[in-house]
Amino acid sequence: MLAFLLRRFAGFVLMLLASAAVIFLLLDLLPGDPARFILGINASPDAVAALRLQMGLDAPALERFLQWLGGMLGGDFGMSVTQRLPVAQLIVERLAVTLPLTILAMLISMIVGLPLGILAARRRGKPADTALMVLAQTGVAVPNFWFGMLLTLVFAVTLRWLPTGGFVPWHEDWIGSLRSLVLPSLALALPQASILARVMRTALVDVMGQDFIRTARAKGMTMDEAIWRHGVRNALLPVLTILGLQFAYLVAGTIIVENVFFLPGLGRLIFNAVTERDLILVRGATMVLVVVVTATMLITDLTYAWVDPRLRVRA
Amino acid sequence: MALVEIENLSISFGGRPAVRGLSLNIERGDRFGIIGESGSGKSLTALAITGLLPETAKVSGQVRFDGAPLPSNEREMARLRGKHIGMVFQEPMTALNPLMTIGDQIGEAGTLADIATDIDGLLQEVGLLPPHGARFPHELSGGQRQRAMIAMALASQPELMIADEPTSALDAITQRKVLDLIGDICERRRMTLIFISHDIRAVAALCTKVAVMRAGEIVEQGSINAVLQSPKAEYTQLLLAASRMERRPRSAQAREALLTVDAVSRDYGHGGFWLWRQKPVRAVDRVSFSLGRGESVALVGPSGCGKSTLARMIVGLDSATEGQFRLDGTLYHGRDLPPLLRAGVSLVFQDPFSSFDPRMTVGTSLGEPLRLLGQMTREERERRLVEAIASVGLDPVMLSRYAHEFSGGQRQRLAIARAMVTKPRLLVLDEPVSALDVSVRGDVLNLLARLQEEHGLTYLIISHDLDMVAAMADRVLVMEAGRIIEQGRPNDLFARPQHELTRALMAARLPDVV
Repeated sequence: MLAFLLRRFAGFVLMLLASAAVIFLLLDLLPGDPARFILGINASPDAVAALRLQMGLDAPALERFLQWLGGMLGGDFGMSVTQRLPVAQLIVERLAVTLPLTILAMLISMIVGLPLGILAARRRGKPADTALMVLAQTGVAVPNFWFGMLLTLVFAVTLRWLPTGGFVPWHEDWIGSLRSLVLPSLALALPQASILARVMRTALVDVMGQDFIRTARAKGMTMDEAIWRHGVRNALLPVLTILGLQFAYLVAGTIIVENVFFLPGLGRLIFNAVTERDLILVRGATMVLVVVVTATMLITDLTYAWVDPRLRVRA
Repeated sequence: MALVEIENLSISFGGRPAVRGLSLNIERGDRFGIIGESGSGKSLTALAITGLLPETAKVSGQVRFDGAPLPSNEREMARLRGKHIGMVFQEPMTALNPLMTIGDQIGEAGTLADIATDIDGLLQEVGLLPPHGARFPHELSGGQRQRAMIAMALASQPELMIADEPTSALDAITQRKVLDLIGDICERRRMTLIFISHDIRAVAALCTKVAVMRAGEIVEQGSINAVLQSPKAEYTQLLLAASRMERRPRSAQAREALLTVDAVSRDYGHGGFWLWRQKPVRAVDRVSFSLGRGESVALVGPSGCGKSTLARMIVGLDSATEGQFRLDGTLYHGRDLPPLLRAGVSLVFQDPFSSFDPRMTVGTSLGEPLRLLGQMTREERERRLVEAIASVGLDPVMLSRYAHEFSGGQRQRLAIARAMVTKPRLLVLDEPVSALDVSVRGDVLNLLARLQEEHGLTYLIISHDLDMVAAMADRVLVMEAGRIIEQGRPNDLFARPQHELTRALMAARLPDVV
């Protein structure tokens, strides 16, 4: 088991190093001068030279790469050229919005999607199943910005239960912060819940036909008891994969919803950094996303091993 | 009063009858065998007794357990089977929950019947050890899993045990041990047994009474001796005849070698990365032998002994780690077998159901190996296909159909036709009849014998069925843990087995009926 953990963790670190190298190469070794790229064609040679000095561009690539890595380990991601603030500080501020938003959306999609999937599987071929699957199909098809606007219209504009947008910082009023995340996370969760319901249904229908469910029934369980005690856990295995992918997708994919609800999240930060050619910020934020996504994959893998003894043995 | 009374039971699916007007009484203490081929309704009958029929089944008639009709309420029915009936199924790998330990699964069966379970005691009763309880199903061998399954069925101290083909997924030696175990347990616990099987000899060895089923009906029933010694129904006579395999006259003349296997080994590295690499497992260990032209050689051994790996390398699906093969003078190591020579070596798989692509017509499927022969005109291709399908006794019209439209026996004929389409010299047959019903096995073996005679084929037969081997092979190679440990002509080898494994294989043979 320890060997398994160590190996997975070594893989995680290697993956991060490889990604860091690719990100560094793409943004730093591309043809052209990064300083000129950042400042634009009309910048004076003096300004470009000053920025080159500030970015340390005169040192060899390997040395700069190592410096960049070392800096990140110490929490120093460099200075944003456009905002004149440390990149690390900018990212932490934005993650404080995006991460809770993502986690909330994940929780909602699981709480809604998984039970509905189980219900549909149990009522397979009956009206309830058909209705749920039509609903899930619609949920996948509806764009989440449109659903977000619909939610705003109903709950914020008409009923005035929740704010239309914007974000109250956590340290000012955490209940207010939560309130401002409710609608966006619902908008994000709808398609995810639909996908989860479909995957859960398919996985459980598959498991229900397996011999060990018949064995469980032969031992004296009703179908529902057998599904509950033996079916769901087995059916969760394929669902886990989807959950991992969804989380990674949500962290990086919140940008549209953040725009609809005027949330100062990571997606908007990256979007602005790209349009303003803030290479340092783009590089730092991309690296943070890579860490989040890779860590999610690691956690998914470990959860798999925890749930499924067959994977533990191979370690 | 009988323990199980079935009165005029009929089961149908979507209007198609599967069991028709079946009546049966099983007395306490009986060991009742139900014999039938696939689709005869024998398993459905067992499921009807336990209330486990699929929801889509339409059922009429009555089943009484211990004098009372089966409850219609799902929960009551579930508790009845939990307390009074223990079930053992065919495939122990899939019948156990992969995510739970054996001990937990046994304990759960006891809990459901409100019985404090002595898990260690049960494990010992079925020939396992207490530490096995902490293992997961994938950590046990096939035989051990089936033992665990039996322990689970016993946990509720049932009056009736239903065993549905409990040994057909196991190799010969394990099969015999599990059968003996079931017999012993029924004896000791005075338990009633319903034993469902297609194997007439297994039923004869274990049961006191028997019912023979065909197409949803009982064609004959009675005490085992009466039915087997003077079978009245034609179908019973047919099954009995099919269970006796005819030995074919074999010649012992020395032949020029077609294939030489020279000190071949195959290692499998599993898991691991770079520094963490684990020691490889040696599946085939320095095996050497040769096949003469026109010879039939059988490779026997328990599951996992490396016989299938060896076959895969011979036909070019896998490569040897060490050693080499020589086919007709050409050296190769496995995958490097040149296409034209590869056309001369064909493989027939065990399971005719999964070895056809369900979305391809039989004609397309049969024509695929022709690729090995390079460009071919449409007429030539057509001619080859017709020739191949006719040679296995099927109608060329069938080429445009799909595999699911055929029975198991027909599919295996098609698989043989596919192997024959390139006009090979060597056919590797991996358990060619073990997935087939008893009554069609004889036909397929006759077909193989005829093809060998007509085309001068060389056969390498992989099997653990010693009777089939004795009937078909000129020479037998016995394999254990990757090595060939004994070889000889079947009569000599089986009369005087030298090696322990060969003796065990002989001892595991079920006695002949009659």
